[in-house]
Amino acid sequence: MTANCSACGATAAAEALYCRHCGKPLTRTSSPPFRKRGMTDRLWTFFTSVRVATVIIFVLAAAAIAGTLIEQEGQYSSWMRPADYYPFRYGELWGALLYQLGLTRMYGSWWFLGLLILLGLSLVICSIDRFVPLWRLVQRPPVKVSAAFALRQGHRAELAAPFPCLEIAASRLRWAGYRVRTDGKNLFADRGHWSRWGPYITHIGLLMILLAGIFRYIPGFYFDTVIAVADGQTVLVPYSDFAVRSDGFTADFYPDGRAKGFATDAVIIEGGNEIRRQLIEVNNPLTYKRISLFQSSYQSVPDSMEVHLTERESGQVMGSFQIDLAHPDLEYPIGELTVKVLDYFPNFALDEANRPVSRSGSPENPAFYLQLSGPGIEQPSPQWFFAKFPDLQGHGLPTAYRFKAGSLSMRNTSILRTKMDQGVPLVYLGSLVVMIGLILAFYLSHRRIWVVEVEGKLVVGGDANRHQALFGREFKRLIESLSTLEGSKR
Amino acid sequence: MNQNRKRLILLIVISVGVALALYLVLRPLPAAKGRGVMAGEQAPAFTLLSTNGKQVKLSDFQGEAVILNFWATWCVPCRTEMPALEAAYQQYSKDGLAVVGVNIRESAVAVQAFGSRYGLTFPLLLDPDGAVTDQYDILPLPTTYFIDISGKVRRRYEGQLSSTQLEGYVQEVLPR
Repeated sequence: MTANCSACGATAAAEALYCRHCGKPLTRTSSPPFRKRGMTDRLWTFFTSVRVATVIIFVLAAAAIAGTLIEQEGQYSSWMRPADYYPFRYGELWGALLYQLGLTRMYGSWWFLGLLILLGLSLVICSIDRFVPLWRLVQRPPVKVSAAFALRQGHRAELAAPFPCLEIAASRLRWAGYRVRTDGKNLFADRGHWSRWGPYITHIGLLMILLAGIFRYIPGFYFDTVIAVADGQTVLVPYSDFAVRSDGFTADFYPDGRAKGFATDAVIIEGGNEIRRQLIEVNNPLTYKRISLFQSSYQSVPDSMEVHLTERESGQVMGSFQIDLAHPDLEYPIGELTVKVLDYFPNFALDEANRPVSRSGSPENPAFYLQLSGPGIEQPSPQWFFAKFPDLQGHGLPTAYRFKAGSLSMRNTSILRTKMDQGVPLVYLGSLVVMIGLILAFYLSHRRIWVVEVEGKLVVGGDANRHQALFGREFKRLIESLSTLEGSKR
Repeated sequence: MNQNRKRLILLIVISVGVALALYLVLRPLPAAKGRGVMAGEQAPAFTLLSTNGKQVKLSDFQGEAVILNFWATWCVPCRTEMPALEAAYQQYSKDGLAVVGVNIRESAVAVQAFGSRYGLTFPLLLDPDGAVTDQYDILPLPTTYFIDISGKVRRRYEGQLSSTQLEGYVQEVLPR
């Protein structure tokens, strides 16, 4: 049970006779007359309640833990759509339930955001609620208190006559680093009043971090996506007005095959001009206009191949042509001859009925069905050409010419992770503010001393909101120094 | 703190919170990805080259029911269902059914040869860079859209179609 001081509004223990903050006597009878609690009061109590804030923080923590345990959308490794995947992964009932409740996209779900906002509101209203009493306590502490109040403090002393006058006590306390206020009869001195703002400053820091979190949901403040840039290709960077060109991807390996490092020679292009060139390596991203490009991975696929036409008997090369392995042309001229591409299987295989098929779309085992025609060829007959197995002929009549595989050129595609998070500086700033607040709150203490002159003696009371033992020693020294003054006067 | 000031502060702070919450919940999401074009939506328009070098638009088939089939030569269920698609095309083209096969990221040579090997007579379109595939957010192959005469998607089917299924779904979209 607690009561509120009618003068400054600070909370005090129910059995307390004096307010610990302002020293006014606490009178139960002077509490404001009973008033019906309206909506405003109820909402106010709700948002300023420490219990409510604690519950919100615990629910958020529990949700964050659940979010790491339940596979989140976009993070599971399956081609399936979320609506189909979750019932498959967690069972019909549970999967559908998790999906419908938004537990599968936790950090963007309406209720998670709602809780974050509720916590933010609670922090703001609570801060407003505590501001005025705190301001009074720190900036306008009451100087006039009763001797009885001074004597109820944790540390107290009485100096009998002859005692130093208040002015001398004031100068002594000032010399000891205290802020002194006096009204002739009473004296109030305090030190480290900044520590009272500690929790307050911590709240502001937390609000900044919350705000940075909410930034993620505002377009243009946060995105995290992946782009693929092939060697020599220029790709527009998403959510930006510039593009990136790769002037070559390189992969280094140790002799035992372990990857040593991946790097992309990247050029930023804006408005048709080359703005910057940088080698993007693992852990060394390129950052331009707050967007960072990280080296993520790479793909290396055969890009094109040189094919030589040779005379079967002599082995003499008649001519060559270059085939694009992704999209071969329908015909390739060699002098007066023409090579017609009748069919193409990028990844050749035979199906269960021994028909030629392609196992995938990527040119891992390219096979062509080619037909040569032109002057000197009476009976054009199609023949197979296997890039990886040049001796394999397939069925069909042996022809006077044969194809031979030349050099295969590979094309590297660099996979770059493209990320922007404008909230990051705010998170750092907020963390710094939180640290400052915590240092103020925990390493400093607000030390207060009241001096009251009554009936021919000085009553001194002292209190610290933290580090009582430390203050006890300081208080003793201060009283001794005042007593010495007393002695010197004698 | 007096009542009026409390009320004012609550009003301001809570409205900011509610406005933020509403914005975050109702904000336009960057292209609802991971859902694809659903039944009931208008089929997105596109233009692609066919294997015989002609430009083909989806709107060319206005007034007809359209079976839009996304496929690849290396996809086994796609190959298996092709004869059923051809049969449906043969049977219902006179009743106003168009069948369009969109090949995903393969070469003209391979697609053309595949078409003649399977005796396909409906248009085969090439999507070399996967633009239309991305537009329709195709995940598994084959994926088949049944589009009615008003251009609205009536059904999306992911996986291999049997001729009985095909028969039933065609009846849903055929003009009467």
